[in-house]
Amino acid sequence: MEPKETNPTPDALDSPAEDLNQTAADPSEAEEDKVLQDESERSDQPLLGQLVRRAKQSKEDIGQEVYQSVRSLATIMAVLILCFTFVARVIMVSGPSMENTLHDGNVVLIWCLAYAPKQGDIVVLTQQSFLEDSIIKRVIATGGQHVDIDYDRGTVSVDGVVLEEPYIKEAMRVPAYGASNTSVTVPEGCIFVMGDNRNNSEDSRSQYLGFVDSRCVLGKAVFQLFPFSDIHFL
Amino acid sequence: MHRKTLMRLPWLILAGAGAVAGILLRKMQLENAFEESGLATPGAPTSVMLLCGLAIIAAIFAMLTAWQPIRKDNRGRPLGADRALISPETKVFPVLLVIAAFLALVAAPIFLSQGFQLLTSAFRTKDMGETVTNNGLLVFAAGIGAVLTFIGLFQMARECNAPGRRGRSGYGGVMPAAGCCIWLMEHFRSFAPHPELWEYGPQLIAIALAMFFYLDLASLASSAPHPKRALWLGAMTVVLSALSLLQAPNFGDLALLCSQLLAAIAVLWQMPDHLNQPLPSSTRPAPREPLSNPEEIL
Repeated sequence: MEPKETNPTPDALDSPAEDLNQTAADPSEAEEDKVLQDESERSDQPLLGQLVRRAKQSKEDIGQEVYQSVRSLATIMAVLILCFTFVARVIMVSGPSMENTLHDGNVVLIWCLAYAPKQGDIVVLTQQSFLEDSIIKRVIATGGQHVDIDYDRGTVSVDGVVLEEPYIKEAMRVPAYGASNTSVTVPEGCIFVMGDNRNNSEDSRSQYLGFVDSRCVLGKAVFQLFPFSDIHFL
Repeated sequence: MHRKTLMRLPWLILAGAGAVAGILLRKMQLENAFEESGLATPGAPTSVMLLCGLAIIAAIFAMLTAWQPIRKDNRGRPLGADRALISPETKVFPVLLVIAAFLALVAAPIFLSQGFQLLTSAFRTKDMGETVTNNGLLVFAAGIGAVLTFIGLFQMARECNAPGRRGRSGYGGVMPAAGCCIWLMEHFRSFAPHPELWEYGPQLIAIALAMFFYLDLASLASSAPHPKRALWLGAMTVVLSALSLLQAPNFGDLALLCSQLLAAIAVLWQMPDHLNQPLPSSTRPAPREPLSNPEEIL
């Protein structure tokens, strides 16, 4: 099939708003094909021309394969990272502060998109002044609510209502860092968090963490992914 | 004015204006939309202005892309890399690419040394029985990615002196794309402990745009080229890379951002008019001599 040769008119070039669907001659490729054809006809071994053509094509195919592979991998990586940045992410629990709900080494899925902390949610926080890495705790109270902690009875009350807490590991005792923040009102825009392992958790009861700004909340833990034998919603 | 200059001017002017606007909006946002603690003020007007400004810039580039005329070959495909990019006449394109390549090379030792330091301190931390948060492997890999970027960009610049190799030069774009992919992972990981979105988000998007831009340059060598999309991605890469320069975490990131900025400018300089005009006949390859001794090949 001979290539079409059309010369674009000056009007077409001067009106750039129109997409030029005009075909242009591609003499370099046509000439190369013609040379190969002439070679195979002239040589005593017509098979040679086919072999040369196939070798040329396989080189291009390899380049195409490499490009497609890199493109696929890069696209997947970019989509995953953008998803992890704006929608959800996966984190590994470090430490015993959320036992027996979550154990050290568990992997959980965190939902980040359009999330506002609510009482009872397990959340992941970033608190630059506190630890090098993010922390995972449970929200006990949100902005405007009043928290009362009674170590004698081992109960936590929010706005006068004693919380039912089947998730805590054991009865609460006065922590090693002292019994501060036992009766506090959470400021607006902040949350009060505690770990489920009340006797081994440095949380909002500690003066080092205290109230956590809601903007420091990365997201809500929704699903435990690992270990595979214990996959469940949180 | 010469027809060639008319094609590239809108792209360069709008990309430059978009970059300046992006820098100004980002500067305003950094001064007004953050508290002393470093947390972003929710719903700050300057943040909203920045987002709207970027959306407007993206829409303008989309309209310019739709307007961009492209000539197709006899198979109905847009022109390949040898027509769209390579031209031995212009020196600006290869010079900009070479500078971009060496900027990427400058970033390599910075990432490699940082990665090495993190790796040695991770071993020490592990020996003390403590948990290692960042072992530095991704930082090290980002250094290798910077070297790949250098090789790819340098190769694309070299191809300008070897016209006529139908389509193959575009595959040089695969290496900078791979480098950007590794850098994207490293950038995400470095902010994972304290992911303040406005701190690392703009640069993350700039790196992702540059990666897809390089992939579309590589597509010019494939059977499914996307030159218009490459132009749009290149223009957005200029804008996002420019505004990310204001808060680059370290010198290595700064160098890589400048590298992708220059590479995108180089393509915006070269591609718009070459997409519409074929190369002069003197640059077409001469037909090869018939094979005298077929046995030499085997």
